[in-house]
Amino acid sequence: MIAGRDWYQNLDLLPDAMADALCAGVARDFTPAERALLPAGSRRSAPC
Amino acid sequence: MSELRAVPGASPARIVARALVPVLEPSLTETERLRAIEDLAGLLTRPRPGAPEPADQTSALAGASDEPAADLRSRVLAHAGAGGHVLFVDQLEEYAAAQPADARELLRLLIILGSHRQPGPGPELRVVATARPESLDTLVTSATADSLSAGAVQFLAPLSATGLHRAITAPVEAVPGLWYEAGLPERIVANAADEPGRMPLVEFALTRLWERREGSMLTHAAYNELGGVAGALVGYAEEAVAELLHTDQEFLARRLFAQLTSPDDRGGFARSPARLSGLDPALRSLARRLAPTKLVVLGRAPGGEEIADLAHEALATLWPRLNGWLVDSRDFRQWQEQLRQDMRRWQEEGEEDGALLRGGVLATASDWLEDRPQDLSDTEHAYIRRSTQHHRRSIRRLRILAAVLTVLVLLAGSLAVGVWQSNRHVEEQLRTQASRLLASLADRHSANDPALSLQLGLAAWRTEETSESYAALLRQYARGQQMSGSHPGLWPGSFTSMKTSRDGRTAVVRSRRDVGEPALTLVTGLADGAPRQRPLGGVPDGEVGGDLSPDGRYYAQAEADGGVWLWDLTEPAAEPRHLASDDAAGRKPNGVSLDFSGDGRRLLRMFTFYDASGAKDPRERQAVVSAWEVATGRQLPAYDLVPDQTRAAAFTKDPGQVVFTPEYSPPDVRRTVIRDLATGRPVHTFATRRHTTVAGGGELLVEEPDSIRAATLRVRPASPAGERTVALPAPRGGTTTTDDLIDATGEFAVYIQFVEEGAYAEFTLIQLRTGNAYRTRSAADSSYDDLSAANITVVPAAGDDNHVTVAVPTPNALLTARAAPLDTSAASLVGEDNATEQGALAPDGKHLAFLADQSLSVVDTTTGATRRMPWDSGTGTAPLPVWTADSRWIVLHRPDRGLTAASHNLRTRTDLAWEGTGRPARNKGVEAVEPVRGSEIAVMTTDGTVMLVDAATGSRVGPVIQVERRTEQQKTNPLTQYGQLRARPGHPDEVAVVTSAGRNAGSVELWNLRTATRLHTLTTGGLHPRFETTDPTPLVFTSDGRHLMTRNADGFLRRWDVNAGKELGPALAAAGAQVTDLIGFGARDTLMTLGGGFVGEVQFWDLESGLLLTSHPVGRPLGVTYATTT
Repeated sequence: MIAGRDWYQNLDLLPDAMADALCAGVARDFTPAERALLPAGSRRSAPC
Repeated sequence: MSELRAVPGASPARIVARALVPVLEPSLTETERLRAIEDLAGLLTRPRPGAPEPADQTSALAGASDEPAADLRSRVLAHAGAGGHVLFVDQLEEYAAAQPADARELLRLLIILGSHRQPGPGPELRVVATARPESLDTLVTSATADSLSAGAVQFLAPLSATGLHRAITAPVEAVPGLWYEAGLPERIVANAADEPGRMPLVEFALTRLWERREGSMLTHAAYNELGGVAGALVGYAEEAVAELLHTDQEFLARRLFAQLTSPDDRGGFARSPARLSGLDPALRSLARRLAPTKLVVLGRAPGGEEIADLAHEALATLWPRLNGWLVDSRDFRQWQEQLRQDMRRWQEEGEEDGALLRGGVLATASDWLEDRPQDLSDTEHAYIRRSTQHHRRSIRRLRILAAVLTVLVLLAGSLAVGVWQSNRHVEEQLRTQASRLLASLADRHSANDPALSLQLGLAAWRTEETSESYAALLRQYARGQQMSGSHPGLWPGSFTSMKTSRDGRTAVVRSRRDVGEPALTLVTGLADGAPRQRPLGGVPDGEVGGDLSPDGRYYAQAEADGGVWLWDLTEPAAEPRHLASDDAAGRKPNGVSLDFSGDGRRLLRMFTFYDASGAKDPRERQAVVSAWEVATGRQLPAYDLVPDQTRAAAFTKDPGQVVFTPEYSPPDVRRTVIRDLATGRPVHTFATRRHTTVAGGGELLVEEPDSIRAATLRVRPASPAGERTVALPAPRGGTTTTDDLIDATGEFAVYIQFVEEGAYAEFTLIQLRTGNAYRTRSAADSSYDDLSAANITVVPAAGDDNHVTVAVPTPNALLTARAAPLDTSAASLVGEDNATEQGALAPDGKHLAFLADQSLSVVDTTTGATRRMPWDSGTGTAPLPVWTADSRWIVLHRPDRGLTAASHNLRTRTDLAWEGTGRPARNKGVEAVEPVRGSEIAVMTTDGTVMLVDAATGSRVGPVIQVERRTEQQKTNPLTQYGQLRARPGHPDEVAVVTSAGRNAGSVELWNLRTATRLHTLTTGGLHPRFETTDPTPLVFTSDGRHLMTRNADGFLRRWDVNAGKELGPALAAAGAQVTDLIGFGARDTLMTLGGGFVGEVQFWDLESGLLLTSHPVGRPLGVTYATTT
């Protein structure tokens, strides 16, 4: 947890918790343009 | 440094030799040098399996190590200076495409040259090679992958659109008087976006554009003529070969280009320079004829022979005619390249019969020799003939060997397993590299395309869990944890502005397509998190005011001449209606603004202009208002000229009245007037502040503070009852300017506080009608011009949910974040106070304590509610509050009065005592205070004693331990370094103690403070000193107390196994990252520190590699606390 005089931020640094928190908000599939950017070897299914 | 040129055609050993002989023997003549290169190449050549080992080389190597490359390395270093030597290899992919097997061998040699460390410190030989990522498949084998896995391969993402734009514009800006026609660089960037190998194409197009410049301008007309980025190249190449085609010499051109390229294994073609001497005379002369066109470049190989080369590899892909020719001759060229490799091997092996062609390969060679004799060089002819002769001789012997075949088949079976395993290994490598590339791409797009950046960051982690992908995930999470949506592609092109209905459910987005054409898109469903879009037809050109009716039914957009287009959004396919205007006649238009009445039935337009002679002074600007009935398009009677200097006009709640706010300038006019629409008669006049905005569908007037110091925002109804004002908290320094404050719905004030380096912002949202405040955080780009409060939509709370949703635009996506309610009783909501005070977070994170303005403040971190207690800090540095481990007490040190503990709710305070009498320990210098457990703290005094004191009772609870004897002079010397204390987690009552005298050697003594026993001493090297009680302690333990991190005086952080007294892993270079404090150990073997200089940041270090993984920039933090879950 980081706090300033009028703000604070609580971070869970375990990677699964971070991925879950992001996926709860911004889960979506790649757009075709995004998928085209994925380099060889990437996991190509939706990231969440 | 030397450059190693991996020229296709040469053997790996010769390439290395050519680069390094000049280093080993700089003063050789040309002939001697060539001989030395041959000798060295011979030594480096790896004997082929089965080939006889040349006797002379064996003797030359007697006494040397098994690997000649390692010896070469030592010899190069013997000639290098103290800084070592760098071997630079550019465009390794060209060699990899031309000679895959040789390229792998070259990489193996380079790895040996670059990887063996000298024992002890000393100069190093480093190899830096660049290659396109797709060539990694070819280059890296299971044998070399191991040497490359530890971060040796770094991916560089392609230039972003912004970067390309800069690359295009900066050189032109650097030439005085040269410029692009407006919009041309953007067109070039857009055209080049998806072209493969776009950099050379852009370079080529720009050169042609320069040749066709008009005066000092690079024009759209010239660019159109060229046919855009790709067209420029093709057009030029076609022109260059036109004559050949007319004179029936196409077959020669086909043959020449076929010789200058070689097919790669991905269906493309790579550049492959050819020796002129090896070409048929007709091709040689054609190469010379084409040289002035620069399609073919003549040059010299390092050996001095003349060579012909294709101008750029991109030609083979992008010039359709050439590509067609090459495809036609692919089979031949593929075969010929193979033949050349076989032949080289044969030559290298002393023209032994064993390396001649045989079997099916020889049959194919004989066929090609018959078909295209003119395309084979003399040596190639000779090689095939020799092979044919040898074949005839050996047929007889081959028959005898047939019996051995069975054995070979069995062997092949076991080899296949090896291949499969190595493939799997390569796949793993590929995945790791892909994950790293994704992480670096995510980072690169962090500011300019957060929606993409989020996807890539997540994809990096999903692809492979590496420290790089953990860092990428962390960066996205730190700014995106409150985000509730990321919606790309809702509109075409790039976002320019947005208007939203009062309920936040309907929005119209204005955007600009790549070609500059404007577009309007209706976006609905923002409130339920699943936005849908529909384009609006009949969009006029021009960038003047638009408005959406408060109920979201109509959208109106004005044209520069005052005409208005009106869309009925309930009718999907309807074209807009046009409300004509002749107001522009004889006038110089200045601007048009539109406003719907609160009931959505009327539309108001204010048209500002200068008279026909044009603008001389802003005071000469005039305005007229007009109004229409929306349903019928009937123009309403409205009085004509607007008096005074007016900034904006809008319907009030009463659609028969219009409110006019004053212009910013001149400052003496500060009256807001409500007038009757039809007659212009003033209904009411207010004295208002300079920055006054109409909001809430014309029902509210929002007055911003005239000075940054004023604490409130004034909101009042835009009606004769408007003298009753309500005060809301105002933004302070560090937030967005006050020019633009109200969101796209007109219902919220939005304060944006950018954390630029983190590419995110803190948003404070204040509902104007209720004063309710909300707070959230979202990815946002501070350099994005169209990101302002007016383009942000706040969707109000609905039902039981007390959160609001904020929608933040990026050029191509809408990001949403949920904002939680904030306690407005907190005095301040946003903004930095330029305060330099230090604070501390309670270990449970619920409260933040800090000293400022002669009081101790404790803030509830969730609601922002603040309690205060008077506190006289005296004249010295304000003390740093220290929380007890149970988060219930705040201990403060006052230089003249010892220690005081205040309860977390500030209800009680106690002076602490520790002398035998139990009296408050007055006039006692305290050097360090450390929470141990519960409400107990460890205290270190200036006279060298350490003890346990209970903050709850104010009494000492353990023995007084003399850890250091100090003289009177040491006790009073203001320059004496302070001692240091750190409790050891998982080990009750154990505290690490560093005495003033022990600091220089870094002696960390572990004491049990209850039993007064010294358990252990660890020597860590000089520690970062403390001169004040507010200086941070340079020690931090892991949560089990087994490892200790020290911040050393030499600027490094070091990790220790406490019991073994041994240093673990590499030291971290903290000085460069401006580390100011240690926070603790994090997940996945990381260490967290605070640092980053003026901009505060939490830094994450990878303990395994010792590198700074990532940092999370934050506003100026007062306190950081962390807990470890097990």
